[in-house]
Amino acid sequence: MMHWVLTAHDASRLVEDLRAGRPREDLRRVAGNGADSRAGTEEFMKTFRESVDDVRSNSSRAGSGDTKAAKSANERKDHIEGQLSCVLFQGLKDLDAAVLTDPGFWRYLAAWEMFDFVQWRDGENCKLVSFGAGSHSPTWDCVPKRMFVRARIAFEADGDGNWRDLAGIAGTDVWRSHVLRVKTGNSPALSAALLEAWDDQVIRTKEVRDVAKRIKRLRSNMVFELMDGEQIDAILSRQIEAARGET
Amino acid sequence: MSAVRSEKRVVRPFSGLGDVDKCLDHTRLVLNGEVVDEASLIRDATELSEDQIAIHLQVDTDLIAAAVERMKIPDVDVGFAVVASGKSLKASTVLYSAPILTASVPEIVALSNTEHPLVFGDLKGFDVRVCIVLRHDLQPRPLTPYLAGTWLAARDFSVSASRDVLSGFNPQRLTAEARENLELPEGTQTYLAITVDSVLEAPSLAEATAFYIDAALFDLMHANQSSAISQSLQVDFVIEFLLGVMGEVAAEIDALELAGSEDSMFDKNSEIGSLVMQVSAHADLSPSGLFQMMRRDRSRVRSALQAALEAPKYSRKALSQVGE
Repeated sequence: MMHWVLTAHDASRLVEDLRAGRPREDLRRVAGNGADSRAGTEEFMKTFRESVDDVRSNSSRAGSGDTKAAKSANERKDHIEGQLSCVLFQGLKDLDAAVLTDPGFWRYLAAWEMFDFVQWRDGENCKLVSFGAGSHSPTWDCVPKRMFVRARIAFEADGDGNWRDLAGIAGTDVWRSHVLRVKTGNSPALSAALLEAWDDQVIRTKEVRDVAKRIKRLRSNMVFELMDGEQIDAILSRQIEAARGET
Repeated sequence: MSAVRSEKRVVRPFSGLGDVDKCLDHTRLVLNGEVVDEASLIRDATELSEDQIAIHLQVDTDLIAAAVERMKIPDVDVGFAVVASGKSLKASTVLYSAPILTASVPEIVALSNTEHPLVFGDLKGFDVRVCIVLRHDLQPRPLTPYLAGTWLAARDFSVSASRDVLSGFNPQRLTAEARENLELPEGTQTYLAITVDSVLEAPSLAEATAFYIDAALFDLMHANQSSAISQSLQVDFVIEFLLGVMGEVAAEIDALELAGSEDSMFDKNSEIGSLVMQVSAHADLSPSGLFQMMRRDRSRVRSALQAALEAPKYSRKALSQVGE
């Protein structure tokens, strides 16, 4: 499937130009072959940017008391990122795997289509990794990539139910450090259980790192993907108890 | 095809798993109809998208039942499963899972990128785990697995897209901001940053290193990639990068007091190992010989790389075009 990409170099240059207020030079390149996804993606990203405005203004009106976890400014931002991740996922999920697993595609989205959003989310002086550049391939700091996977995990965990609420759970550190960067993210059920326990304050802030570390250790002996909901809940409860026993 | 590594084995806090582990001894990858012995395959990216890959399961559930019985684990609590995950987007899928008592384990499980595109259509590749696993919690006993989800035996397989060894040479733009962050003087042209504690243990060059080139210079090179002068600069920078990485590896070997054992330390299984092998080959030396020379006469390694990468040819071509 034909799609737009940006090299790491070009994404870096584009970000520098845009930050300096210079005109945006079209550095996009075409990758892949077969059906052309470019116009469709561009059209969808226009819709996405409109959703950004809607969600942000709704969030400002609602203030900070609308969700359990949305307390600090960063948490409010993360809640918005979570809500928008569902929009992004729904708009992109039908693209070919060859597009979605192409690092250049995420750089294109971040630097070309989502520059303002990335700057708002990660800060005006955020590192290039937020745009999928500044490293050899996009890491979990790359904003559109982490958003897509965040919503995909939520959808896999509870696609028929409250997956949007799940994706909207605010917790930058929980999502990035304890779900996306580690193998826990490969098990949507376990990720969901961890996030819900965090959101319901079953796991306290000071405990979450220890619980996540214990889960990570268990991973070498267990296959979380094969466990049912009850087993996942039981193993999580054990880790919470164990973490508390040590404090 | 470059095939590497036998399957991984993990040391685990349980005893008496030997018999059950043997039950998976005949599990293999099947590549385009051929059973292969390697547990880890590296394929060219274009080949990977066309490859027909499967897992060959020659599993006798009666043997598994007997093996777990010897461990005093009820066979009713044990299952057999195949789980796979893509390397890019955390997509996982359970390809097969059944209790061993009722399992009719298929001989072949296809790893189909049409049925599981985000797993088997991942451009970076995918991992597969075949395992015998506890399906229910058991009464806890010392040194015996008892939690549901614990695997009793497993075989891990990996299929990756090959990356040119120099894919680690993916320079970054040295902007004013980057220069300040790295505390480099104004006017710096290049800088090799080592971003991990141990290059030897790093899973990839990309994670271990970042090679910076002055942003304005890099932009010009990038805009004129096919020009003779750009190509000449690229070759020089590649040599600088390779020497820098080899120097770092040499320092680490010395710090670990492993000098002299380099021949057995490196193979093509890892990116760093593969790079060491290629640089050694360019210098017409063994890895041990290469690191001896790095310590004694680094300039000679540079010369060998210049020769291997035809640096003078590019320099001559660049200079010949200056007056045109």
